[in-house]
Formats: sequence, C-alpha cells, structure tokens
Amino acid sequence: MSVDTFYFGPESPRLFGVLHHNGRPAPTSLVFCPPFCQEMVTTYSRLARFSKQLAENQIGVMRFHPSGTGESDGRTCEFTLDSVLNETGLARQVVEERLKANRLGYFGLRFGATVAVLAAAAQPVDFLVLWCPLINLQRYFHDLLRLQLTKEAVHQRRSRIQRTTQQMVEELQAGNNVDIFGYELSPDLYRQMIAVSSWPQTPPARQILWLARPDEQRSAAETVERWRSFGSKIDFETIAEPIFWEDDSSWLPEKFAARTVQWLIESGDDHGKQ
Amino acid sequence: MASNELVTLSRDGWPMHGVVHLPATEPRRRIGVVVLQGNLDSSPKFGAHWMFRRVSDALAEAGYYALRFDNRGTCDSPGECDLKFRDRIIDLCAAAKFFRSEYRLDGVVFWGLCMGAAVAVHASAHLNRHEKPDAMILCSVLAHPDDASLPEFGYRATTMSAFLRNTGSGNLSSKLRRFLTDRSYRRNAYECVKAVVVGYAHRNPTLRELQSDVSRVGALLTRYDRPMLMIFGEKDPFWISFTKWVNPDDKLRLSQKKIPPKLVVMEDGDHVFASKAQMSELIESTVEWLNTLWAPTNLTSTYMERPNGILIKPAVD
Repeated sequence: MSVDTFYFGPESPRLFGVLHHNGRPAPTSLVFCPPFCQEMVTTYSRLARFSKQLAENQIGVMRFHPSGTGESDGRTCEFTLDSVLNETGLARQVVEERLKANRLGYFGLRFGATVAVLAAAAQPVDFLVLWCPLINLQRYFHDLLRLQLTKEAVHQRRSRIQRTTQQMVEELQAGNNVDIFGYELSPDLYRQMIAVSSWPQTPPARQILWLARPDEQRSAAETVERWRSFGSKIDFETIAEPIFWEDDSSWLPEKFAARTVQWLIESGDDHGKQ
Repeated sequence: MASNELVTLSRDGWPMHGVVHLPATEPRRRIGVVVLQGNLDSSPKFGAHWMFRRVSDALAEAGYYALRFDNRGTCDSPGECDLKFRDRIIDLCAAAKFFRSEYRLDGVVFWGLCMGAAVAVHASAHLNRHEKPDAMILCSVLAHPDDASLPEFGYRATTMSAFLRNTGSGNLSSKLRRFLTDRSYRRNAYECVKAVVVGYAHRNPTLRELQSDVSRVGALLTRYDRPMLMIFGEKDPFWISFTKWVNPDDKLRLSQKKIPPKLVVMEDGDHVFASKAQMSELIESTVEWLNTLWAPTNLTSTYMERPNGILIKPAVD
C-alpha cells in the first residue's frame, strides 16, 4: 500500500495532504474531513491507521489538513468554516484526478462529519460516512469555551480566573481572538459556527452511513427521519464505543471501523450492479 | 522567509515521513533541532495545539534547521507498527544521522516533550561521541516509571504504586463524601481499581520494559556531558514527580555537573504548555538558550560551499 504525502492547493496557503492507495484506480474513494482542535490531534493516529486499513480493502483515502492546522500553512486564527469547506472541495479534486474512483464520498468524525455534510450539501458526493456528527455547532463552540475555563480553574491561581464563557463570547463579538487550549479561535469562526443553526433539510447524499453512540440517538432521530422521507438510504446505527476522541491513546474504535468497511464494500457492490 | 520540505528517512526497512524546516536565512553555523512528540504512538508530529510545528517554525525563523518525523508505522509514515519505546530510540538515532548528513549540519540538538524527552535521553546514550546530540532541550521529561502507566502511552492497566501515588494525596473525608454522593467519582474509582486489577492479572511485559527504561532516565541525565535545558510547567504532575521522586534534593547531582543543566519552571504552566502565553515563553526559552550556545559566537560552519553550490567538509589532517 502506498502512502503519499504532498502539498496541494493554492500557492498560499499550501495545504498538506496524504493519499492512501494501492497504485491502481480505486473503485471507491473517500476524502477524510478532520475533526477540530484537540480532537484532530487525539484521533490523528487512529484515523491514519484506519486509512491504511481501508486502502488494503481497495478503498482509496485522502486525508488533508485544513489551512491553519497541522502541516498546512496559515495560523489557527485563520481557520474558518468557510475555509475548511472550500478546502474539502480542493481535496476532492485531488482524489478525482489521482484516484479516478467510480464513486466518491466524504468521511468525517464529530466536527469533521458536520463539515462532510455541509460540503456535500454544497457540492454533492455519492455517499457520506458520518461518525458521531455534531448537529449543533453553537453548543459545541460553547462547550469548548467551558472546557477552557475548566482547564484554567485547574491550572491557574484563583486570582487569575476572572472571566466567564459570556465574557469570552463578548471578546469574540468585539472582534478579538480567544485562546482555547493554545488554539486561537477567531471571531469569523465563531460567527460562522453559530450561524449553522440546523442541518440541510434535504439529504446531502443518496447513501449515508451514520454511526453514533447510544446517547446521540435522540438528537439524530429527527434529521434521519427527515432525510429518509426524501428517499435517500440512511443507515443509522448506534454502537456502544467509549468516547475515543477524548482519549490520548491510539486504539481504533474497532466496531465503528469494522461496520464502516463492511458498509463501504457492500454499498460498492450495489453500486456496481446498478 | 523560512520554508518546509517533506522528507522520507528510513530504518530497518521502515520508511518514515518527516518535515524539515529550513532557516529563513543561511546561518553561519548549521545547527539542526530534532523535535520529538510526547506520546508513544498516538501523537502526530505537529502535536497538541500544533506545538511542535510552532516550535519548529520559530526555530527556522531564528536561523536553525528543524526536523519532525512520524515514527515507523505510525501516522503519516507507511505501514502499521506496534511501536515500542525502544523503537522510538532506534528511529531517533536514524533520524539524527539522516539530518546531520543530509543537511550538512555542524551540530544537532534534541528537543523532546514528555516521552519524547525520555527517548532523547536514551538515544543520546546510544549514539557515539561524533553522533550524539550537541545539546538537549527536555520539556516535561518523563523520568518516573509510574508516570509511564498512562493511557496516552498505550497502557490501560496501571500499577499499585502509581495508583497509590495518584490517589494518596487529598482529604480522606472529602473523598469518602464524593464517593457516596458523586456518581462520576464512583465510576472513576471503579475504573481505577479495575485498571490495577487488570494490570496485575495480565502482566504486561511491554509496560514493565517501558517502566524499566523510564527508570533509567535519571541516571542517563547524569551521564550526559553536554549542555542541557530542562523546562517544566509549575502545575505539571511530572514536575512534582521529578522533584519529589526522581531528583529530590538534587539526588542526581545535576547541579554539580561540569555543565549543569539550565532549569526553567513556567509559572502556572501545564504539561503541554497549552496556551498562547505558555507557548510564547516555551519558544522564547528554547531560542534564547540555543542562541547562547551558538548565535553570538564568531564560529563559522565547518562546511565550505563550492562554486556549484555543493557543501563539502574539508579534510582535516
């Protein structure tokens, strides 16, 4: 199996990409949309390993680092929802040119899954694989602010903790960046994330595998039913796996991974018969 | 302006993916810093809050070369490997040789976080006199064996001594009260006990090997005879481990070494320096210290540039 690393996209910001393939055109290919902030780091090794396993199953994978993250150019504060959606499209072009797949989809975990949905809504793909997508980005952003305050409460002298999440929001609204675990988040990112008040009303792909943890079932149910009503094939399943994106070790969520490989192979066979 | 290039180095048939940061201007002395991530196989080479990327960018801006790489069979390196601590030492030795020869370096420095720092210390002892690092920067160094039984190092089981040390402090009545009233606390306590039982029921030879290697870090620090900078966050449990268990009252006699290490303890600092202010201080400490070793001197590179641009090292009688 080949693992090619390269820069792609515009001259500035240069984007970093990794292509996993077996040297031949792949019948099925995936663009991986990475999770956000610390979750991109904690899941990086696992998702790289998962990519290698997919490539062994004749599924081509393109992983990339949005600008302002990882090995790509740019600063953290330049990362926005618009920029990552645009760059997902650029990564897709690389896959189309280099892997020449019969069918192409997006894969995402958490924030990455939300990006996958929004990117597919803008420019359709054949299928989506979503792991524990974030349906409410506004709540997610506030959770990040709360986590930062918790960290400060643990690590800093009491006299230095002088702010609340509301004050952090006011900072953003005043046009200033906020520091979350060393990641500088911008007012533009905040504005764009809270503007996504709901997911697309119509399904962003004709085939979707949506894997969630049991506690996410209720929040997902409405969207799943709505998308099904448009005739799309939505395979929604809950799998009891630990919250692996909060854990710094490298184990792969085997049940999520195995079900995804099985689904990709089966749905690829269906596609071939049509 | 500094720039990056992607490189591949290899060892034992394992190709490893790396990124080299080239200095913004051609430096007088060609010094390269190998930047090492802090976990076993779970952390990518750019690190939490891109810290290794930021440190490397700053080094390049300050006139140093920097190399970051993914160990064999992990992250962006091809293949899958059940990586061990000792593999990381071997990989680092290979990376240092690659870096020194490919980039015609006059000096190599190891910069490591946590387990990366422990790997740097071990590798410095493995390399011969001409290959060993000319200096080391050790951040939140992993030097106490009990600290090695953590999930981020790939071990879910823990040992009784680590368990007792991590739970022994604090008020007993408040613990009892929380145990009775707090469901999360009860669940955590259950998980801790389970981890200890599992640790003993399934003797983990890899963990024992890691702990044995980590327990030697202190002794190896005393043997390293070149400049060394140690950086800790004041709130990092590893700083407490280091002062309380590894080097209480300068047991290792580091202050009596011919070149005693410089120690920086960052106020309110955490294990991975996770804030803009901490990162600024970390980078400043790193670059300033390196500059005291190399930049102000009038030393020039031992390499000469031919008219065709190729660097050569003149033969020495």
